Amino acid sequence: MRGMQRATVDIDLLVAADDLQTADAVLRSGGFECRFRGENVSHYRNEQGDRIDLLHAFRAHATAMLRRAERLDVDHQLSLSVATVEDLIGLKIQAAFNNPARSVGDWQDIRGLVEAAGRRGASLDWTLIEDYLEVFEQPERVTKLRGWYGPIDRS
Amino acid sequence: MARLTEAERAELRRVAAREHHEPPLPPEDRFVAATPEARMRYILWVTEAAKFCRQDKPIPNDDGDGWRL
Repeated sequence: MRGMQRATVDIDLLVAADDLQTADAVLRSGGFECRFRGENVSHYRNEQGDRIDLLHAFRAHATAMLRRAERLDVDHQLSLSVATVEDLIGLKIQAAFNNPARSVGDWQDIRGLVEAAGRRGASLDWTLIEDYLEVFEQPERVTKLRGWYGPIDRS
Repeated sequence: MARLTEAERAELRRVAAREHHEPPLPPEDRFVAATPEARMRYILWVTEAAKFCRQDKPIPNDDGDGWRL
């Protein structure tokens, strides 16, 4: 949805904590069963093995992501609310931090997001990206990310 | 249990010994155009791909203590 083919393949939905009960009802009515619910995530699966993960938004960063999300058109008949590129990068840094074994794929996705933004000349909020890197104690990575973007955006 | 034959092993060793260069993917394979049609094509493809990638993966029984966002 943000211009790059992912190296990781799954469906993650960011849901406000207050809406989790509604999301649960919708997923159950669609044949999904909750297989795990923790403080931060819920995992659902249906009989065909399709899997949907809900990321619970209740901390300040995640609830701000929901406010910033943009509706993107899909095939002229459907629009979906999609996190901004910067927020997807934040979530990918979180995923890499949670599971170092999968971090190569997550950083590949981050690279793809940044390169795709650079390729279409979309400006990025580097202050927010630096915030996310600092939250996960990796501020030095920003130089690499700026390099992936390309020579244009230095805002 | 299936085992590789000696001929298969030799062939694999021969291929592995060669210098391997994989060209980077062309932009049309790396990036999804910012159009509704391209997004829908990608969604349909990734929906099918997800079935192969996630079907047998175990569901974790805790969500860890690393969540900060």
